Amino acid sequence: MSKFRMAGLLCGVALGSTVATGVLAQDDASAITIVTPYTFDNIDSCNSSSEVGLVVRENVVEALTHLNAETGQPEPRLATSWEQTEPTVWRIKLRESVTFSDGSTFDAEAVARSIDRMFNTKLDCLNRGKLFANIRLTPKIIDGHTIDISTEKPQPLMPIFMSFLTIESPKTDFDAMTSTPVGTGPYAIPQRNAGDAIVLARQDHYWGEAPEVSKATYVRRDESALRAAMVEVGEADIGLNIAIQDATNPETDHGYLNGETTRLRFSFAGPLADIRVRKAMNLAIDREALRDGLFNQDYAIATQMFLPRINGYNPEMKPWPYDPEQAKALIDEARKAGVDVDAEIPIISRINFYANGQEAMEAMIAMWQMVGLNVKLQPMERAQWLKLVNKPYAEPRPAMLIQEQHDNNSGDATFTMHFRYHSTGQQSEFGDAELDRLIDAADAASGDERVKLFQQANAYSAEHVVPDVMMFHMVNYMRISDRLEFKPDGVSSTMMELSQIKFRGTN
Amino acid sequence: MRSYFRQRTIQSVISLFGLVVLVFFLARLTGNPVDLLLPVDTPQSVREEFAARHGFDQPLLVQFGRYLLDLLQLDFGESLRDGRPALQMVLQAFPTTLLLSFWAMLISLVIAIVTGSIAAWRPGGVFDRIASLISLAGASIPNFWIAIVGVLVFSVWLRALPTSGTGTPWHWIMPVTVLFVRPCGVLTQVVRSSMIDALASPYVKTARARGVRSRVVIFGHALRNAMLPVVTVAGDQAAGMVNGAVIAETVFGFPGIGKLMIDSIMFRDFAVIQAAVMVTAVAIFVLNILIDLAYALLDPRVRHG
Repeated sequence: MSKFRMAGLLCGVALGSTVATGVLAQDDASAITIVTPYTFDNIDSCNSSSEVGLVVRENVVEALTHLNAETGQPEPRLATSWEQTEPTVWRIKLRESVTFSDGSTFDAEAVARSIDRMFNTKLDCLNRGKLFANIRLTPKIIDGHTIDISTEKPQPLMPIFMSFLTIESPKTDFDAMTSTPVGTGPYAIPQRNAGDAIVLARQDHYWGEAPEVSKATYVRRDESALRAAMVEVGEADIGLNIAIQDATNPETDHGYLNGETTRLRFSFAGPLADIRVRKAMNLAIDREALRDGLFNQDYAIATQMFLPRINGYNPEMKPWPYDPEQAKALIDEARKAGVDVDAEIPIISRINFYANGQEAMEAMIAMWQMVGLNVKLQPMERAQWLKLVNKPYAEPRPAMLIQEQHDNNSGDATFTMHFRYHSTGQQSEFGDAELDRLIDAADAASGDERVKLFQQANAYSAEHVVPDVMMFHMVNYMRISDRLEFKPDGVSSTMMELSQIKFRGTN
Repeated sequence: MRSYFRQRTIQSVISLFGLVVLVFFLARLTGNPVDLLLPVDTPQSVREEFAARHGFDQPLLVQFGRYLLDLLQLDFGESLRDGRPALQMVLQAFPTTLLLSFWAMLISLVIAIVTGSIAAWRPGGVFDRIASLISLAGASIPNFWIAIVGVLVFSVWLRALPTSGTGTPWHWIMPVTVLFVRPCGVLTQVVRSSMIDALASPYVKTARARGVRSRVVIFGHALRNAMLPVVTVAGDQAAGMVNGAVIAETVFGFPGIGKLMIDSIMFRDFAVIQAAVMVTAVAIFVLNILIDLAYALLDPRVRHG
């Protein structure tokens, strides 16, 4: 074979391979494409409390209850009713005449199996680590559609926890994660080649109302500008996590509070052990200027680490005023009392944490320097930053502020308060007996009493402890094609029900 | 020639082993996957359980010993992120990168050889100046900028090309363009300077004096002798692409090895990082052999030496 023929053959093979490399095309008018920045490597429903929930939660696998995005309260889904029969036992009535998309029957046995699977330590189950690390659920089948779930300690939040108990088909592998979860939801994953786009197809035998979207394809693109462009040119219908600078079209770009709250956490060491210095650092920050300059009006100035829809939010708390003069006065007072207020305070920031996060840190540093504090930015990569965030802390713990972002989309303050503000919390920097008492009492209480106690704990912490410099409740932007009717809400960053998406002109 | 290849193979195997050791330990210096894969709020007990399940609680040397034993059976381990065999993930991603690199290098070489040769015919002339300016720009402009501007112009404004993805041959135009611009610029410069030297050689002057046509002088006589440095630089550029066309793959959503490697590094997915490095190292080894073969093809002194 001559050299030229060889080269021609090589080009032919390459051309053939290039043409053959393809993914599905979208030609069905009721099909949509969603472009995301997430990898979705492992979409087992056991990971549904992460971004995986965007695809599978309530679309493919359903939970026992569903959290109302507005009120944060649990509503029936696969469970029709629930009651606390004993302090440590909840009795749950299950929906009847429901089948999984593989034809299996939904019953108490399937629920018990799903709970046991979540606690199976052979699985890297994120839901277990994130939500059930300190709670062991024990199911007991009462009859075909009634089940008791018991815990070691009284668990007033069980209906909220049930919103994360996604139920998989009994045919799901018990000891291995699956890339094609099967549930009772309105959609099924017909097939999936790992690494490719994920396709959800509407299933015919869904127990509820049939959704309008017949097929949803999830593709990944890392660049926000590209995701925005894909929706603009009609290649996609919904673009998730559009960066502020790319959300330029108010007609299609919708901002929503994503459940994340940002702050800088004080280590209670050096000058930061003094409450006057901590208060001064709060008073020195012009949060409105920061918001308007680096973020935008959609961002809400935070007074506490979770949103108003979460049980325990205290609406009476006001943001710190911007008062550099009072900040200077407090610093002088601390200096006179012998506090080393001139000591260098590192500001530990995390690289690429959130949009304009680094710029926000630099602006805040300038504000602290204006009141005479000796602060210095120390940007860190995630792995390095993590070493400072969780207990056990390396000793001696130096004076520093750590940039943080925390999400609470779980409906209750306990997912925030104990971890951060209780003396035994894994990310707590201090111990305050009164605050511990309030959090413990709130954890044990239920209903209005629980809400009231968490509100008191929040107010006490902000007034008497000052553990942090609160920043903002953060915003995500979603670009939505004008052929769709859909409004993102507070849980859209972790769960997006395709059944909520309608096509314009069909109603 | 045969002993030369035997020697190169032995050298490469030694290099590969060095790489295995280096990548294993360097990857683990960058951070703990337990911290990176689990949410920040994960309790300590769950972290310890996760570490024990994946053997990260073992001393580093024990982990390395296990890794070597598995490697001898060509078992690179499983991805921490999705549980698939690491080698399978890499081999699934690699053909896309190879195809992207193939087209980009082919187009680069054709444009660079034609442009560089014509530019060298009259150094300082109008064509030479324009070609030098464009090739310098091509070699200097960052490819992520070309990628984003390309999407804006050709997809959003002109609606002529798809923004990203791999559905049709049209999807390949922008990624291949982003990839070939830089090597094309570099290679044009190399061809030009190499051809200027070749065209000043006595045999070219003789050919010109005998009235041989310019096209024959350039492409028939001078080019072949000017190709050796071009092959060297082209090999270097191709190795860079095989290593991972990270920008093109990331921006345009091409599921290649560069993107896989970046994702794996971000999540400290050690098994995939190690498998990807090994596969690309082997590919570069093969590429070097091909470059040596090209030398032999172009230069009889190598062939018969």
